[in-house]
Amino acid sequence: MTELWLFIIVGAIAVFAAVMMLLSENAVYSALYLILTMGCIAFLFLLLDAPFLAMVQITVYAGAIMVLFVFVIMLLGAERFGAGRPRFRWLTPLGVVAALAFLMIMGLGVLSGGIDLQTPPSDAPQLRVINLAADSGPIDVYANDRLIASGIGFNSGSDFVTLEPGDYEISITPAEGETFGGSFTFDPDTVQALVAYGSAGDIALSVIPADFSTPEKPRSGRVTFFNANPDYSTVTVYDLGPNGELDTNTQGVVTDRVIAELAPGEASEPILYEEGIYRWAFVTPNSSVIQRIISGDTGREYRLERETSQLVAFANERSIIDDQLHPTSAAFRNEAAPAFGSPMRIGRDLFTRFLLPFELVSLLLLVAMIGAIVLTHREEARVRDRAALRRRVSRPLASVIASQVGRDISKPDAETPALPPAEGRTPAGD
Amino acid sequence: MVQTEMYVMLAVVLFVLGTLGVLLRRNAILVFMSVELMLNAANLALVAFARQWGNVDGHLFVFFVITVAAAEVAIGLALIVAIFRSKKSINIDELHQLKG
Repeated sequence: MTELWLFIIVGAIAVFAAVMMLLSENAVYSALYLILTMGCIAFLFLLLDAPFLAMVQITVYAGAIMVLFVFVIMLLGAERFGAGRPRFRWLTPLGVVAALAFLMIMGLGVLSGGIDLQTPPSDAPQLRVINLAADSGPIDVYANDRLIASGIGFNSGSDFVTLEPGDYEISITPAEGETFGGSFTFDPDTVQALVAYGSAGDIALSVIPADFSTPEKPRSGRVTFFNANPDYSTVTVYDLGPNGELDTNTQGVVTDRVIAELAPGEASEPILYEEGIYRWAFVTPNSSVIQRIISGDTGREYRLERETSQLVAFANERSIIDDQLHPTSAAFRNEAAPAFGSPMRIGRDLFTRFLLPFELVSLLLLVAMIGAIVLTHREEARVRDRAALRRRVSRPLASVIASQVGRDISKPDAETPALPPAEGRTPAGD
Repeated sequence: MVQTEMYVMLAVVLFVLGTLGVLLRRNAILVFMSVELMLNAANLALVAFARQWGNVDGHLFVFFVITVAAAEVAIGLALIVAIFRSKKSINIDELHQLKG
């Protein structure tokens, strides 16, 4: 409701300033009213989740461009030009009628729901492949016989691939073991990870959503836990806290549980954590023993960075020491997509998808700069003309001087005689 | 959240005011400023649509519009200065000859 009132007030100021710009006789007032309108529009940009554009609007439009306008108005002394009777008197009523007709047509179209705002175009689904299947070796992934990822080793993931929405027959060919697969449906506007887990000969597939939007809380990251270990029926995740121990309350119940009982192939809801260092543990149901502290940057601690989206998985790994399967953990970290309308988001798109228009616009600015110089460049008056100009301008002054000193300095014969050679001083070279 | 239709309506009103300025004012600099107002109104509509569909492309278009407007202002004001030098006036009613 506050937003609506802000919109109404700021919009009313914008319209008022625009009207005053039209009605002001003095062009400087018009320019100042236009600055007010542009400031209001910048405020509306803020309401529309476009903070970067709001700042650009203030600095470039209300700042640079309007300074240029005011400067030219003052330079030309053009405050009151065009104030007299119009040459084409019929233009005023005709212009008003045409503008009102345009307003009515556009306004009726908008107000009657003539513009379709309800069905946004949908994005194609995106998919990445993560291999958490022990003993499988690198895997190749086909979607409807199209290769979408190849050579994905254990504990690594592919890049995101864009697919057409629809039903897919996913088949996975491991380097060792048999081809396996399943059917999945990928809907538009989804970003998902296809995880292969288990062990060779018994590999299963699970599709889990990947959320890469900026976390709602500032200075926080998003963590999704995933159980990729079919050897245990469930797994529970604990946050060990700074002391690295499981805390229990007076009844002996562990209090710092994060996610309860994830079944194999199941992912938790994404959880927001503040950035910092965490010690997590996966605990299996038949033992209260902590299976493994999630390995991270420093071995026993996991550093969570802000504005990242992480998939933390509990998997099986064949140890190279005793050749047995051991529980392990893996983390897949992605930068979260920058927030809508943020400078980073706009900059990223500007330098990827819009690089060519960006270069063209910069070229255009260069041409405009040269064009402005060429247009306003004035041929230097020829030397003889300039001398004539100076004589003409200085004649009154010259007559004043002549009356004071008694001779006319503007006449060539009355010019100051050449300086006499300096006396008592010889040139240095002689 | 304010409806997108209201932003579009405001943009239409500002655009019409800019059109009126172009049609009615005879000071070339004011005509020019009215064109800027029309560009701003179009920008407002673009940003409103960008939010409606959650697509950042509208913001990029606005960014390009602002850049092109800066180039246009540089050229346009240079033209006005050049015209003022030869005609000693920037009343657009008097600029009805191609002769310089």
